[in-house]
Amino acid sequence: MSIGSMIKYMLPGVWITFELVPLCIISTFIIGLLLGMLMFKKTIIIKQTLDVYNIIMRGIPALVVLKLLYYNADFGSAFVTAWISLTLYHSAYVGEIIRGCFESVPKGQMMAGQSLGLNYWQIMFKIYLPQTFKQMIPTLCGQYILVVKDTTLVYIVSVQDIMWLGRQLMAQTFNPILGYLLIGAFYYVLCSIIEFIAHRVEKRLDHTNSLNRVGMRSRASI
Amino acid sequence: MNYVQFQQWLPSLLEGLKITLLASAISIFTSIVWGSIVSILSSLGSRILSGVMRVYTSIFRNTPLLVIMFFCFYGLPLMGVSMPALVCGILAITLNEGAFVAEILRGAVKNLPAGEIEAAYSLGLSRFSVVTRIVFPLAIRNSVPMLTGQASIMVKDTSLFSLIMIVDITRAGSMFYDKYLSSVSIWIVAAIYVAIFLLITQLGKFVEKKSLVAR
Repeated sequence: MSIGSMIKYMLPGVWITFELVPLCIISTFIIGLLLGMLMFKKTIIIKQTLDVYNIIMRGIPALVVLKLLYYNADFGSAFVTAWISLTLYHSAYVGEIIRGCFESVPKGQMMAGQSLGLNYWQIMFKIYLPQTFKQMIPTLCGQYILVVKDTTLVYIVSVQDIMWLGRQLMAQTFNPILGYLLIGAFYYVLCSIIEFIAHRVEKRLDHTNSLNRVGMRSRASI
Repeated sequence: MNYVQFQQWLPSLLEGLKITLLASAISIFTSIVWGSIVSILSSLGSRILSGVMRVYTSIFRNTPLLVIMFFCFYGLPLMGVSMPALVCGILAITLNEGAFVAEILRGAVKNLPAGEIEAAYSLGLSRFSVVTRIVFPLAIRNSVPMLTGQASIMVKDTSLFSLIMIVDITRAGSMFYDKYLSSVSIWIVAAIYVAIFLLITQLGKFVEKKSLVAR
């Protein structure tokens, strides 16, 4: 089987990945933002609950999360199951990243916001988020590369993505070397694009932040 | 799940637990060693070596572990290299996570204070001994927390072994489901993974404390 016909066979799976990845990115960002803000608030009960959630989601492999949801819950389609489990899994990480970025903002800004009479959520959305959004992007991109890579797992809940179609094809033609090289190349390109975005943003940040620039001069060069 | 079923299932769970723990320990060790080798090679100053290493990290960081694992498991035998499945899995994890470890160490090297390295050079040490005796020990000490995080990810990576015909705890859980259509087993497996995660976090904190004392 030629490369062309192999690619043609696997192409529908590419669209599944292109649907799943943006959906996951959006949903993990929204839930992660909420989790990050709730964790930053440090209300004891909420914080402890979220800590437990974090530990559970960081402890269990994505594969096991997928299986748990697939066997226990019925969301109508395998695609939705995959989407929800990846969202649940990665939101914990994204929430932790966002909370970390909020911690880097000086405390005085919270007090200033409070003294202006803003409530907690207004302070978060109008003061903290706009300032830290740029800083988040490189780290978040790192996490989203992991999201892209974890979408390879969804074939086990019979979502017909590139991996599923590829394995089906390889069972017929028995050419796993070429098949997995093609799948690997596809994911490599996809992740490289996200990495490129992260690099660009990081460079821009280094350039605009003069403190960083001074800091970099004193760094070692071996 | 009733008691008899559980009793029948327990041996395969324990067997799986053994495989998971063994494979995690080996792959954490090999990944950190391999990542250290990569980061040392790429900071030795040879342009070709560091170029090769950069290509290596870029390829293996941006390709899913599952694809690498399947390539090793299904592809390599056709190219004349056949290994047991466990070795395939550990090789795949080492290649993939080694790239991440190398990246962590590279970040740590970048953040070292210039003074220590200049001092080493002014003492007349060669580049090789500066890298292996000064830069690398400092970098690995500074990156203990991140390496612990990576180690817990490696434990989770071993769950993919269940997809290449190895009976680890994930597969043991699935086998119970396939037999009795009850997902309790997978909840138990999930709980075991959380326990391993907590253990590694505590171990990481301990190592971090020790490394701080040594400094």
